[in-house]
Amino acid sequence: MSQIVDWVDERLNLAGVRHFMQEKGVPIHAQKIWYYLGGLTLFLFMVQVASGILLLLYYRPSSAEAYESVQFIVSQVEFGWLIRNIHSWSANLLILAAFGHMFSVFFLKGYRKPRELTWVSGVFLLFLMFGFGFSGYLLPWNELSFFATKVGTGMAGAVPIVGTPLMRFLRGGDDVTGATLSRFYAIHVAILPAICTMLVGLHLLFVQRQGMSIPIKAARRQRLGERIKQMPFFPDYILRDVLVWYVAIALLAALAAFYPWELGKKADAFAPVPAGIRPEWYFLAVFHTLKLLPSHVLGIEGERLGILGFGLAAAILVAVPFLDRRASKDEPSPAFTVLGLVALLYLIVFTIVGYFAS
Amino acid sequence: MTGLTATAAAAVLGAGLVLLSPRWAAAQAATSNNCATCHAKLSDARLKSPPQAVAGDVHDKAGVHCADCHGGNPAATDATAAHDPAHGYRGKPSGATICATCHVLLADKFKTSVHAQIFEKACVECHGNHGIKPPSDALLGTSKEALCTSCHSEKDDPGFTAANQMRASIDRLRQGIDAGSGLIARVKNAGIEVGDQELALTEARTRLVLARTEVHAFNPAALDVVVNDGMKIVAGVNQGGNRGVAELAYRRRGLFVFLALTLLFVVALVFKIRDLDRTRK
Repeated sequence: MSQIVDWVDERLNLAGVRHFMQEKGVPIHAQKIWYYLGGLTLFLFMVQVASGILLLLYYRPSSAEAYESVQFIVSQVEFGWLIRNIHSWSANLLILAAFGHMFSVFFLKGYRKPRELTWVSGVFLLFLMFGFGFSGYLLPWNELSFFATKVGTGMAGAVPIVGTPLMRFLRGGDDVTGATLSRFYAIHVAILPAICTMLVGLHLLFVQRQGMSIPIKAARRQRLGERIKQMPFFPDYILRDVLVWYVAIALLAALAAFYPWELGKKADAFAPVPAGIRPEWYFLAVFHTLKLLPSHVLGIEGERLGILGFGLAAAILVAVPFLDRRASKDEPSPAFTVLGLVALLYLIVFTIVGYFAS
Repeated sequence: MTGLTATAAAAVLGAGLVLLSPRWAAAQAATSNNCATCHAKLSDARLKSPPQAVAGDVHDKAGVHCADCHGGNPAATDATAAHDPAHGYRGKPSGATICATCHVLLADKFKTSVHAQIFEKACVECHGNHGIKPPSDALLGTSKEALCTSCHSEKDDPGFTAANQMRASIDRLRQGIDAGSGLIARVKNAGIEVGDQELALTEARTRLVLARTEVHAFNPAALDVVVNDGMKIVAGVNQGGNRGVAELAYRRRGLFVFLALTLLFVVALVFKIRDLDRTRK
């Protein structure tokens, strides 16, 4: 092994990499456990990429063949069922891990100066994950996904000014058809992965350049001269990360074996809308809120107002590091903590209520 | 002509055209059924009772009414107009022909049967004409509800044996389909893809419908051909279902092996991490 390393070193000069590996450390404090969520999110993203590539070998993106090809994958291809179920479950766990990662960074105020761009890139990555989820949901071309996409793209039509062109762009026409499927496929396997890979690279680069953020209290103690203990990233921290990944893999395997993702019936545009149409769980809070809004509020269409509200909330989320001036000075910012708690509570309650209401 | 007069004239003309339209007349005929209203007032029980018997029977529920079999004009309010032959009134139709107007396949099968030669009223002999009960497998065989026993009540009667045989064949296919459906539903709930088996079950159900049609030829051997075809499909479904059950067991075994290996690796990692921590101290 050392001979191989020497051989590569002689040609590429690995001194910089070696130095980085030796020097990189992870701060040790009471909240260090939350760091694992970032690594877990990245790991699940890699699982998505690997399982997605395997699915691509058999998937056929046309309204005539998509459903049949997924049916073929899960019933005829050796371990196809496992790959498809891991892809589906991992997608959901990935969003959950990303949410957890974002909220942990939020509550630890890890976005504060100089890590504003790390936060912004992370929030955009979360939005991209939603895009992956939305576009991937349609790909099996089954009844539920077909009608849910109809509802979802219809909601995009409520965006002020650009709504109708945006909806037509997403659908590839006036309605959800085979053209929508081709479009969603291209978005899911080419456009989003390209943007996502760049953004993940950028996000990781920021993390490496700035190191892990520490909580405000620890930062203040550090300023007073206290030395915050560090754990070597290689191999101490990475081994712990791998341990978490193994638990995730075991969980994924158990979910795939015991709760496989149902394929349902093939989409039929002329069939009546089946009962229980609802989006994936991470869109449920938004979906249910829009459903609860009255048809008109102060003369503005309720759905349009809701979309505007969520757009504004997304913009605030991106701008959090620039709005929380106290945190950027390493001072506690309880207002933002309360705001985060309210948002988290709203998401949990509306997701649960939305799940049982639909 | 003022504008108002022109509008009124157009409205009258339009209304007249609508009233004269054959489509409007047909729609009226379909919605007005005066047969029951008039016949309820008659004193002759033979004429009074049929509309009462028909109310809520299988034909009534299917939207088949008096005029569909007897002809005439159900929208008319007097007897002469209602029973006008120009409106297709045919009075009491022949059971041998009128049922065949809709039940073509069943009538074709019946024509080939021994009963066709001896049943004067054809279908009516078993099913009646007014107040017809929904068809069910219980009508076939030698049980209490079965129709066959009204003629074939003796055990040494070949008709009794044939009725029993046919009922057993129909039951065999129906129970096979039910069992297959249960197996496929169970496997599907566990996440195994069974689209092909579900399609095959639809095909098997079609065979059951065909078998129920074949019953009207009253030929147990011919019925068995259709039933056996259905049973072959059911056997394929069961084979697929059993493959699914085996696949499930295989997946569960594989999962437990994988989890055991993962646990082993995790434990090894924990020891390694502890060892590292001790070294650091």
